[in-house]
Amino acid sequence: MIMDRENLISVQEFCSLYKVPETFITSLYEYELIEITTTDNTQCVRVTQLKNIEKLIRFHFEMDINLEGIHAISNLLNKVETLQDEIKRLHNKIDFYESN
Amino acid sequence: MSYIDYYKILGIPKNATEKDIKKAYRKLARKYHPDLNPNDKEAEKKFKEINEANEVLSHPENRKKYDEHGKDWKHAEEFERAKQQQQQYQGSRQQQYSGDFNESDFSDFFESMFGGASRQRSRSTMFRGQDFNAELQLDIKDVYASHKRTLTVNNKNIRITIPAGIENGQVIKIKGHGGKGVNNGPNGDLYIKFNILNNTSFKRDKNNLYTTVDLDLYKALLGGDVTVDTFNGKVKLKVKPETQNGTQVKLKGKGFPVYKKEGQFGDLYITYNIKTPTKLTDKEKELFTELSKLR
Repeated sequence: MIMDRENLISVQEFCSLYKVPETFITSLYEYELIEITTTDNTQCVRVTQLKNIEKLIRFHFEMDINLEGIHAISNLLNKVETLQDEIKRLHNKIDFYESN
Repeated sequence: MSYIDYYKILGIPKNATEKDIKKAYRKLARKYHPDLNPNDKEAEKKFKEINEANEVLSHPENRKKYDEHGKDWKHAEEFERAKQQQQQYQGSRQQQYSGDFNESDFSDFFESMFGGASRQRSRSTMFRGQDFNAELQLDIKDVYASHKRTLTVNNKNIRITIPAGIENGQVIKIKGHGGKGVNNGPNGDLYIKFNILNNTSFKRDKNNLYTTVDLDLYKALLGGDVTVDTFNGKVKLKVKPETQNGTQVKLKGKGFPVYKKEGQFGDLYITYNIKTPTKLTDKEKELFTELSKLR
């Protein structure tokens, strides 16, 4: 089961629980969308990555987006996140000057 | 509660095939899915409508019921009886959104027609629980020092520490305090967005504070002491002779606490606003005239 101590879950078990083929997880790794850790010759993913992997599963299996698309979307979403942080920072700055 | 035209939402005709529905849903999901539109409340609202439409139209039993009685939603109770006999549908992953949804994400119209029971997840896979989002409004004075606060989220009390120096708009994650995981999956997280109100005379830019202090003409010209307010008390400052209007002085370490860096503070910047005297007496006018002749 989930290796609580190290917060890792084997890829095999993950795929069985989430009902996704192992090749999908491997492909995500090849596209550098997730990290895979090898412990005792077992490939594992960190529990902290679950949220992201679930999102990638939804992209592929619910929205029918192929891996190239997922790769592009992930990069763009990272940029969106950076821009949203920047907007938040600038909003605070505008508030600062407008209240002067 | 008003009638909802699910066909219109998906942009399909009443005689659309299952394939058409799936195609329309996927097309709209790719446009409005919350995963693709982070922090976009309009897209989230739109997607909930799309998801609800898909929940109804992609399952033959629901669709049949909707087609027959949809406009007559006021008689939903009668439908409930029929619902009891209805077999639970077996959906496919491709047709259902498995992201962060809860009971309130479906319209009253949907609830009255289909109730909660019709929305069953077909998968027995493990999934993280949904993430909860909350907003907390605090006064700037409340975030000058770290403090503990009890919040009630979904009828559960959560005691959290609010670190000093948190910024307006900042979001913090409280791990595991979101929705329960599905099939023993881990719980979701709680995200709290802080709205910081500032009604003080101090303007804040990250860790630095800015304020303006009035200075009378004589002190500006001749120098002297002035007592100014800082965020946590008063300090006495020496004003240099011949201080110009708009001069800024920095009080190191008298600004706002640095987030999660205990004991570290930003700086306080004070701008002098020199007030020239008004309602001069004849004697003052005479002396100022005399002074002006000396320059």
